[in-house]
Amino acid sequence: MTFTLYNCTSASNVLNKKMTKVQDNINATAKGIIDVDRPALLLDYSSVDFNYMFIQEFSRYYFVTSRALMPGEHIMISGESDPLESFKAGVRDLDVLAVRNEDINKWSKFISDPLIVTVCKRETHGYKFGQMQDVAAAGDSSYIIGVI
Amino acid sequence: MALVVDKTVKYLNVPDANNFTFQCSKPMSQLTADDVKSADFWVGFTSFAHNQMCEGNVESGLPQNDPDHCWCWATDSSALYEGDWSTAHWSFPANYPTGIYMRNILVECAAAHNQNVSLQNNASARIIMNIEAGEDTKLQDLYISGSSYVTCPYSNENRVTDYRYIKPAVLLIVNDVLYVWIQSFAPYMTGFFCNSTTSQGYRSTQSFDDFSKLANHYLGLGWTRALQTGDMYTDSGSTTSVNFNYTVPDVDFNGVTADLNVSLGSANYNKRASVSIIDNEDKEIEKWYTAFTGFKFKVDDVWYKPIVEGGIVTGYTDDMTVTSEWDEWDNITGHNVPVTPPVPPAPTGDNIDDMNMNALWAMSSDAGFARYFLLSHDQLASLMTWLSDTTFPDGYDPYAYILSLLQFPLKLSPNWCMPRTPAGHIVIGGEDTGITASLISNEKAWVGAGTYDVPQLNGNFLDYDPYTQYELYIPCCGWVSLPDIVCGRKIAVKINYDLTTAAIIGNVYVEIDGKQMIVASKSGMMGRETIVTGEAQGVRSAQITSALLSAGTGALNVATGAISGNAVAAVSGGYNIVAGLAQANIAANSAYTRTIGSTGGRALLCQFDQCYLKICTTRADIPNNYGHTCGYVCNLNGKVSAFTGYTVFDNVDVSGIGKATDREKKVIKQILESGVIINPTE
Repeated sequence: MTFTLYNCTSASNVLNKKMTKVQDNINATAKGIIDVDRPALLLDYSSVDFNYMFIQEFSRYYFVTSRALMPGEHIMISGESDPLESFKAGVRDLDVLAVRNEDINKWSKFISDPLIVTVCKRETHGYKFGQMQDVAAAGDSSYIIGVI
Repeated sequence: MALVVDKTVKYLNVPDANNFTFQCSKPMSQLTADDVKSADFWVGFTSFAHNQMCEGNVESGLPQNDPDHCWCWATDSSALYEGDWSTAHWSFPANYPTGIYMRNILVECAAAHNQNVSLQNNASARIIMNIEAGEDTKLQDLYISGSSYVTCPYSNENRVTDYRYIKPAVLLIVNDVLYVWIQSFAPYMTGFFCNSTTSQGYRSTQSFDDFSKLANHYLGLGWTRALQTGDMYTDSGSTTSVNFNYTVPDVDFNGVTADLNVSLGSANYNKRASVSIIDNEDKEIEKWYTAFTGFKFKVDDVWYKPIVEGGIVTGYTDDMTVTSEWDEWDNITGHNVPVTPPVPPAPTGDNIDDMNMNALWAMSSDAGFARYFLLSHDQLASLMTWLSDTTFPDGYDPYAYILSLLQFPLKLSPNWCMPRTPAGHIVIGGEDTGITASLISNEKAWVGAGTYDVPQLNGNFLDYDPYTQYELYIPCCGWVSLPDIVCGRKIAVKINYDLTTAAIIGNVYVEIDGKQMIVASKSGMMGRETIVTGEAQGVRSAQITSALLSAGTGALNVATGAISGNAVAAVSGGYNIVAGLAQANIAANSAYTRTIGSTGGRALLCQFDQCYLKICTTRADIPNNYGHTCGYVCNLNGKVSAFTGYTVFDNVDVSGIGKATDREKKVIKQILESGVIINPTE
C-alpha cells in the first residue's frame, strides 16, 4: 500500500483541513487483517513528523492515532479514518439547514439564541414624548356645566 | 446600494456639449414601475420633437450605457420628429456616483438641447429629473429631490429656432416653503400662468389675482406675493431677462398635485415654459428638498450660470468667476444637496394625530335631555353672578336644572376634537342667562397625546419578550404595559374624554403595515367635580309672596267680618294676618341654599402631563469570538459549500455521500450537527 504522510494543523471537525505534505509514496506492510476504518500498518519510514495520512488504496484520509518506532527503519502506526475529509466533495454538496454560523452577517438576529449570555442587571430607558395640549394655567380652567 | 457622495467630483464634466448624447433604454410606453424603482435615478424626456442631438456622435469620451446606474427614455416615440430619442446615446462613467450629480447632468442636457433643439406643433419639451435613492438608502436620510426644467414650445405659425426661448424654471422646497422661480431670456414674455395642463396661455392683461386664483385652485394655497408691475415684461424683441419669484408657504411635494404645471405665457407666440412637479405619490419620503437651484446653460455660445443667494436663484451671469452658492457643492442652502445628508432629527414626539385616529372615533353620542355648555373661568363667574340674582320669577329654582359642574385642567380649545355648536346663550330651566357659551353637541372629545417611534435598543431578539418590557405612562391614566410588537414601530396615544364625567381612557395604537392597531388602554380622570351652591332666590321670593298673600287674605277677612258683624271671621282673618306676616318674615330670613355636586379631588390632576415610555431591556454580553466558538444563530438552507467558518447544521441527510460506509456517514452527520469548521476551498 502507498501512503502519503501529512502534518495536519486543523482540528478533527474541520472540513477542508489544512495539512502539509511530509512524504508521499511511503510503502507499508500490513500486519494481519486491515481494518479500513482503523488500519494498523508497518511503514517504511523512520520519523514521527506526521500526524495525518492518506492511503491511496482506500481513498481515505486518516488521523494517526499511535506511532511506534520499530527496528530497521520502520514505524508501526495506527490510524482512524477521517470521513469528513475523505468525502469532503460529497459533504460540500449536501443540502443542509444551517442553524449556526460564524459569519455575523448571516446572523438572524431575531431568532432567540439561548447560548448568548445576558446581563441580569437590566437597563431601563425612558423617553418623554407628547404633551397634553392646552394645559390650563391658574384661573384658566375650562368648565362644563350640565343643565336641563 | 447606499447613496455615495464623493465631494471630489462636483459634476459630470462633459467636454463638449455637442457630443454629449443620450441613449434611451426604452420608450415610456414600456416603462414599468419596477424600472423606476430599480433605477438609481432617471431622466425622462417627454414628447421631444426633432432634435439633432439624437444624431450626435458618441465621442464624448464617456463609457457606454451603464444600465445598472442610470437610464432614460423617450416618453412618446410617436411624437418624435426626424429622429428618435431611443437611438440616441446615453452614457455615464461606470464608476460615476449616483444620484446627486444629476444636477449637472441635466445642465449639460439642457446645454445640448439649447444648441440643437427645434420644436414644432406645440410640442412641449420637458426634461424631468428625479433622484432616486438606492434600495438600501433610507429615504429619510435623503434630503434630495428633483426639480423640473422646462423648455418652451411654440406654435407652427410662429416657429422659433432661437434657443433663447428656452426658459429655465426652478422649484424649490425649503423648510416647507415652495419657491417658484422662472426666468426667461426670451422676448414676448407677458405672463405667468399656472394650470393643470400646458395648453392655456396667460396674458399680461390678467391680474395677478387671476393667476392667484388659478394657483390657489390647483395648489390650494395662498401665494404670498402678488405679481408686480416690474415683473411683467411685454416688450417684444428684447432679450432682457425677467425674473419671477413666488413663494407658497406650507407645502411639500406631497401637497402639490402631480400634474401641476406653472407656465410662462407669451402674448405673441403663445410660448410657454412649464414646470412639472414630479409625481412622488408612491414614495414614502416625507419631505422632498429640491436639488436644484438653477441650471448652467448656453445661449449663443455663451455659458450662463445661476447666481444663487440664500438658496434662491437671483440671476444669471456669464462670468464664471462671479461668486454663487451654486459653486459650493457642500453649501446646503445653495444646493440643498448636503454632502452628508442631515441626520434625521431624533424622535421627540409630537402632538400630531398622524395616524388619523379621528376615524376611529366617528361614533357620535346624544346627551338626551341634558345640555352641556363649555365655560371659561370668566363665563363661569358670570353664571355665578346670574345665579345670585334676586329677580328671578317667584318659584324659579335654577339649581333644580343644573346637573353637574366639572372643572377641567385644560383649555378645551379647538385642538381637542370636541364637536360644539356656535356660541349661544345658556338657557337654564327655560330662563335665558344671557351668557354666551358653546353648547357641546357631543359628549365625547379626544386629543392626540403624542406619537413616538419606539426604538430597538438591541436590534435583535433581546428587544422582545421576555427580555424586554415596554411600559407607557399616559397622563392622568397611569402606567400601562405594552406588548413587544411596539418595538421598532410608531405608537400613538389618544385620550378619549367623556365630557359629562371627566372620565378618560387613554388608548395606545401601533402602526403596523400602515394600519392602526390598538394595543393598550388605560382609564383615568382628567377633571373634577365642582360644587354649585347658592341661594334659590326665586323660591324664597315665592315663599314670601305666598305668606304675604296669606296675610292679605286675613286682612280681607278681618274687614269683611267687621262689616258683616261676623266676629269669628274677623278673628280668623286677624290670625291669618299675623301668621302670614310671620311666615313672610321666616321666609325672608330662611336659607334657601342649594348644593349640587361635591368637591372632587385634585390629586389625580397632579400628574405628569406628558407620555413617558419606559423600556426595561436585557443586554447581551457577546464575546468577540462568539461566532467562531458558538456561531450566530441563523436559519439558512443551502449547500454546505455556501457556508464558511464554524457552522452547525440541523437534521443532516448524508445519504448522498455514496462511497462512505454507514459508520462514516454517521460520523459525518454527527460532526455536521455538532459543529463543523468549514475552510474555504482554495
